[in-house]
Amino acid sequence: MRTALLLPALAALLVASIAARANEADAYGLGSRAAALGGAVAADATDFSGNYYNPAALVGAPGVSLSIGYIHVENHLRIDDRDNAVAPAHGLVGGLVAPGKLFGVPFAFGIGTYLPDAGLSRIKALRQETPRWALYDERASIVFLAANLAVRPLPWLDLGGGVAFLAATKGRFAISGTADVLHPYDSQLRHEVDADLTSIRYPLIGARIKIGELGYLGLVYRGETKIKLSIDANLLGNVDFAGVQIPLLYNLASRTVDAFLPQQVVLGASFQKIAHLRVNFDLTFVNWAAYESPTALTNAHLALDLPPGTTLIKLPADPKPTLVLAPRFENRFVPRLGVEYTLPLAGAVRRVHEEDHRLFEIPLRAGYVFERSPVPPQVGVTNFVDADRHTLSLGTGLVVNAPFAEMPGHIALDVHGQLSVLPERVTHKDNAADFVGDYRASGTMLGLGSTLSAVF
Amino acid sequence: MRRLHAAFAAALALTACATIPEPGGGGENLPSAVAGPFRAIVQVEIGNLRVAPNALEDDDEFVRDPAVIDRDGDPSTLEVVGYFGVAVAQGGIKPAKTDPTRAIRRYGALDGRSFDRSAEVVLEPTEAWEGGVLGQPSALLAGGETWLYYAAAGGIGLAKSADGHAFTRAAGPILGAAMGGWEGTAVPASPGVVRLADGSFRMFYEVAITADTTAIGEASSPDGVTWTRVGSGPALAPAATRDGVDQPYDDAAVGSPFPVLATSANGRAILRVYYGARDHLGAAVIGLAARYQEAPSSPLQRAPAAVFGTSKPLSPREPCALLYPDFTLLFATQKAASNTDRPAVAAALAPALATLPPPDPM
Repeated sequence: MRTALLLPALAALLVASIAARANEADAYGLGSRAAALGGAVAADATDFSGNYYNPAALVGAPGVSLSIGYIHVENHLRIDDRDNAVAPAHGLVGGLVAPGKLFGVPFAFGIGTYLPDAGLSRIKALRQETPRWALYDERASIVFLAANLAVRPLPWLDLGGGVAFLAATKGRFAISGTADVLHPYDSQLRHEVDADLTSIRYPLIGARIKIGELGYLGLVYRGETKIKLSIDANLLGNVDFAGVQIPLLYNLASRTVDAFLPQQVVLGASFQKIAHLRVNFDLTFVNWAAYESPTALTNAHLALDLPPGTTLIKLPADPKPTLVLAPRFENRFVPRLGVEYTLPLAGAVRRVHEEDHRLFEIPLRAGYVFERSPVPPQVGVTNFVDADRHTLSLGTGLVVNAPFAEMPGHIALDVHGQLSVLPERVTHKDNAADFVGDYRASGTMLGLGSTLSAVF
Repeated sequence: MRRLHAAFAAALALTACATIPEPGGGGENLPSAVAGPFRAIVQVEIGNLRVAPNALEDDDEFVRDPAVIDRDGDPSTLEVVGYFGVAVAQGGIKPAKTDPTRAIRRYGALDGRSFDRSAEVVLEPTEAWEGGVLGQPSALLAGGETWLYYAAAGGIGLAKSADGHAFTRAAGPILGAAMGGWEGTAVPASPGVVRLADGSFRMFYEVAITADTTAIGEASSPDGVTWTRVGSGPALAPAATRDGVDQPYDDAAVGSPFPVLATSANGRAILRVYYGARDHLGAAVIGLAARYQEAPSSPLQRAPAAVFGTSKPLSPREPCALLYPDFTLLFATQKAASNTDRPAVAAALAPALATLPPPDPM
C-alpha cells in the first residue's frame, strides 16, 4: 500500500513540474460543489477540490475518488456601457484523491487540475495606460495543477501541503550576418534562438481541526506566485546596398511580470452538527498590496554606421524607457458563505463509508462571496479596471450511493450556476488632459459547470 | 490497488491535454478621451487629389495655419470650412516660403479634410496697425455669424461675417501689447478663441518672452470684443527641464494655442488647449494641456505625452482640432516632407484605430 501511494505521488510531482500556473480556482472555483458553496470549503473540502481549498482536508476523503468536470464562464465586463469582450473562461476540471494509511497514520494524496480547453496559457504585455480588466482578462486562461499530501497525526487534526507550479520564460534570439538589399535571397544570416522554461513552485499548506460534533475549522496558506517573461533580441550584421556594406546593430530587451497571484491566508469553519446540513464560512486575507505591475520594461537601441556624407537617412531616437508606476493595489478580506443540505430522495438505506444513506440523494447548495476591489481609484496614468464583485451561486446534483457491488462508495453528478455582479465604479481622472479620460466600469459574469465524481 | 492505478492513469491523461491558444480578448470598446495621441492620416483617407498626410499644400502661396470650423455646428456632419494664412505675391514677385502670411483664404471640405482645390481670399491687411501682414486665424461660430480672430503686426484683430465670405473688421486691435507684467512689450500673436458654456469667451495667445522662448497667455471677454488678461503669469509656460526618462517635450517653448471644449465620458466639461511645443533639443511637437471647467481658474495640466509629431521630425505647430462623436481630427502646420522646409497643413486622427468615413470627393 505504501509503495502504491508513493509511486503516483512522485510521478505526479514529475508531471506537475512541466505544467503551468494557477488561477481559475481563485476566480471561479474548482469543481461544482465548491463553486456552488461560494468557495467556502476551507474546512470542508474532502474531494479533489481540497487540492486548492485546503490540502489537509484531503485526508478526510471517504475513499479513493476520481472527478472530472467542465466549467464555462461568460464575462460581460463593460466600460461606459460597452462590452470589452473579455474572453470567456472554459475548461476541464478534475482530480483524484487517494486516501490510505501509512504506518497506521491516515494519509492521502491528491491531484487537482484545471485545464483551459482554449489553450494552456496566454500572456499580454500592455502599456500601463491601456485600460484592461486586470483581474479577469488573463487569469482564467492558464493551467492550474497542484499535487498535495495530507496526514491525520491526531484524530482531531489534519495537516496537508503541496506545491503548484508556474513556468517562467526566458528567451533570447539573435540574428547576425549580411542582408543584401538588392538580392535578398543572397543574404547570409544566422539565427539563434534560446528559450528557457523554468518552473516556479509555490506552496499550498493547510490544517483542519475537528471541533467535536460541531464540525471543523480550517486554516490555509497559499503562496504568492507570478510569471516572469524575459525576452532579449539582438540583430547584428551588415546591410549590403549595391556593394556598400552598412554595419547595423539592434538590441531589444523586454521584461514582464504576468499572472500574479497574491499570497492568501484562509480561516474557515464548517458547521456540521445537524444531519444532512452543512453551513460553511470562510474569510480570506489576500495580499494584493504585493501586486507587481505587468507593464513591460523595454529598452531598444538601433546603431547604424552610415558612410560619410550620407544625409538622407535619419535614425530614429531610441524610445524612452518606460517609467513604470507602482500599481498600489490594496490588501483585502474576502468573506465566503456556503450552505449545503442533502435531501434523502429515494431507495433503500444502505451503509456507505460507515454512514447510512438512501440510494438516491439530492444535494442543494447555495453560496455568496463578496470581493472588494483591491484596485485603488485609477485617477492617474494607469488604468487597471476593476469593480467590487458580488457572487451568488446555486448548485444541486444527484448522488447514487453504492449502486452496485463493485461500487461500494457513491457516484455524484454535481451542477452549479454562478452569477457575479460588478456594480458600476466611476473613475474620475485628476488630469483633464488624460488620454483615456473618465470612465464607468461594471459587469456581470455567468458561470455554469458540472462535475462527475466516483468514490470507491 | 487496481482502482488506484486506474485513477492515476486517468489523471495523467487529463494533464496531457493541450490545444492551440485562442487570441485574448478584453481589448474592444476601450475608453478614450478622443484627445490624442494622433496619427497622420493615410492616402486612402483623403480625396480631392490631396497627398496624405497633407490636407493642404500650396507651392505658390505656402498655405498654412489652419482655423477649421464645423460649418453647421453639428458634429454628426462632416462638412467644414477652413480659414488659412497664405503668403501672397508682393509687387508681382512670388513669395518665399519663409515670408509672413498676408492674407486669409477660405477653403471648404465636404468630408472634413479633403479641402477644395480652389479658394477665395476673405481678408487682407488694410489697417495701419496690421502692418501689412495678417494670419494665424482662429474661427468660431457665434450668434449665426463667423468670427475670425487673426494676428497682425500690432496685435490681434477680429473680423465678423454673416455668410463666412464677406468679413467686416471690428475696430482693432482688440488685444495689443500689454506694456507691462510678464508679457512686457511683446505683441500677442497666434490667437485661439473658444466660447464657453456661459456665453463668455476665452482667448489663448502666444507671447514671445525672449527671442527663442514663447509662452501662452489667457484673456477673457463677455462679448468677444473687449478682452481682459487673466492672471499675472502665463496660462502655460515652458516646462521645467528634467533629466531621466520623463523629460518634457515642451521645456523650450509653448505657443500657437488652440482651445476647444470637450465633455468627459462622465459628463465633466473640459477645456482643452492644443499647442505647438519645442524641447531644449529643438524637437517640435503638438502638445495638449487641459482643465476641468468645474474649476475654471485652475491651472492647465499637461497630457502625459505629446499628441502629434513624435514619429517624424516635421516640426508641427499651429494646431486646430475638430471634435466628432467618435474621433477627433487635428490639423497642423508642418513641413510638407522631411526633405523640405516648405510648409503644408497636415491632418491627423485620434484615436489611432478610428475609422474615417470615405473621402468626399474621392
